[in-house]
Amino acid sequence: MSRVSASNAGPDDVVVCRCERVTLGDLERARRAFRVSSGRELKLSTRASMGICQGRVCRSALEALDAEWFSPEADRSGSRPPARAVPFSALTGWGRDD
Amino acid sequence: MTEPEDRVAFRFDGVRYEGRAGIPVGIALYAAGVKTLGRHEVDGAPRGLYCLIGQCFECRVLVHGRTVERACLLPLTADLDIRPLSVEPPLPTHPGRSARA
Amino acid sequence: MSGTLRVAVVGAGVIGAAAAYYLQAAGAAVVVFDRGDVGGGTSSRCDGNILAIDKEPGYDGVLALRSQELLRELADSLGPFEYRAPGSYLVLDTEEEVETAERWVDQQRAFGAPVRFLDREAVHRELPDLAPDVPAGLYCSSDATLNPLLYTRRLLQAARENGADVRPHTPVRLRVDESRVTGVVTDAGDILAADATVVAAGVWTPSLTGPLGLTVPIRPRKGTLLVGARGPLHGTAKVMEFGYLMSKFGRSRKVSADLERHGVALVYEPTASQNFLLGSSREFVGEDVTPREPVISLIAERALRFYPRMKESLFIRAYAGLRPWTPDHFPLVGPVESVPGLVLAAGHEGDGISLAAVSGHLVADLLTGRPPIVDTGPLDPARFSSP
Repeated sequence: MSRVSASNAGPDDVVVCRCERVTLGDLERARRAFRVSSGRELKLSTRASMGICQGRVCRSALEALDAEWFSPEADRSGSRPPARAVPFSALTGWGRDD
Repeated sequence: MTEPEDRVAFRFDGVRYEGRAGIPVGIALYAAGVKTLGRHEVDGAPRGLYCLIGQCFECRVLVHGRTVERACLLPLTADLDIRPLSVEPPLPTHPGRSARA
Repeated sequence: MSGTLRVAVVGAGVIGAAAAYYLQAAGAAVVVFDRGDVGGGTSSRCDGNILAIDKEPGYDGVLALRSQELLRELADSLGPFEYRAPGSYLVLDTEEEVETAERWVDQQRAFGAPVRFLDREAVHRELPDLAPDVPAGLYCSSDATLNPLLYTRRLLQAARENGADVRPHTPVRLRVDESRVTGVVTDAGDILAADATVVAAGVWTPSLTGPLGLTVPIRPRKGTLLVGARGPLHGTAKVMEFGYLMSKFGRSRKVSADLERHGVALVYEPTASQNFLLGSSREFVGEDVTPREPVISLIAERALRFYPRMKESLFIRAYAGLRPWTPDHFPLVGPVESVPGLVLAAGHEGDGISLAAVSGHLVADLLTGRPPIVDTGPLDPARFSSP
């Protein structure tokens, strides 16, 4: 995140997760306030990458923070189905012999 | 020799616009000078087109009062009714003890 | 008791956090260990429902109601954890369930649970998004919802403010000295001596107590949850289906074999972040926490039966957790008579979040010698030991 400091933007000006409106400042504060020690915890503390795009925009930034802030053994935040948002009507009747 | 554009009428937030049939409705709105497609549910900030490739969902709109679609992908057809998603007020929760540092 | 009671708590999930909070408040010196993140097990893979509406009238209900009372106090004294108490609803699937539901309400009210029956007109007035053929419902006014991971953190935050030490990412095993548990040993070989060691490790409890030869019949029972994106909500109330209680009366629901096989029953829970959670399912499939088909689709199908308009809402994520199931559906809370120094607080199945407050309070009661706020007989770990 050293590239951030090269501009005039402060951490509260840098929106990392657009879907949940989580700034770099929010991530730094959550990390301190909750003594966060893993990427998964950071996600759960701030909702970063839990919004409607499911991390498509912010995941690479969060992974960079993960590598900088947490140990390699700590829990990473994983991905979960579905691959992208779908209406619930798309789910019914899947995978059963009708 | 170019074909005449197939221009169709549609509505956004109750206002009538015209645009070229088949292009993404978000682009048709942008061409008509409409850049704000809605307000963000978390902080009310204006939002609109961003990635333009259907990944970010910043351009999400309500179509015919029923479905949520991405305006950067949805092709414009005649009489399309698009509205901004309504911003629900947050569910009231107990404030708890005010946090000390 | 001379000197400060030193307690090691193994497990920084919601049960361990509540035990640490109440123990520290009672004057003990508490150190909490977890092999991973705070709340990194089941407490971050669940929903936030705090229910009395689905409890058996009797001890089950008393435990739940007492925990709800304690939770109201915690909402005032801890930092915020998205707690709200709008009550919850049970909705009926078929006319055949109505008579059973009416009897259920009478039994609940006889034990003082604030439950009322809603006829067809009332249930549709209070839940306008419901499918029109739902014949009736029930409402319990004391039910609540919260953010389970945040709640876990607030309990530990308050315990820390009172002097507790919390050590995540620190796996331990029990330290045994001539069949007494005298504390814990970390993987690095560091010893923490304790007068009492509380194992609150949920589905991982048997792996900690295994070396002692104890019978701790906790098994992981997987539950899957779906997340619906922010958008038009289907009501702000929490709603479940009455049908899954039918099996308690020895009757089955009229549902497909698929739904029964995976234990799928409707749970709808709007959250403070304005998403909504959809559950629920019950499966014994070991420790797998990957959300899978057909359960994902079965949960969606069951939700659409009760909320047809939900078909256009966006499904954005699924996740799953492991409930610590026990054969009699009650947790094991209390000292283990056959192993001095060992205390268990585990096996809450799907009621961990609901019962954390009363469980934590009971652990503190039992270890400090004060009268327990609820009779602990049905929770005694000894009930599973062979005579």
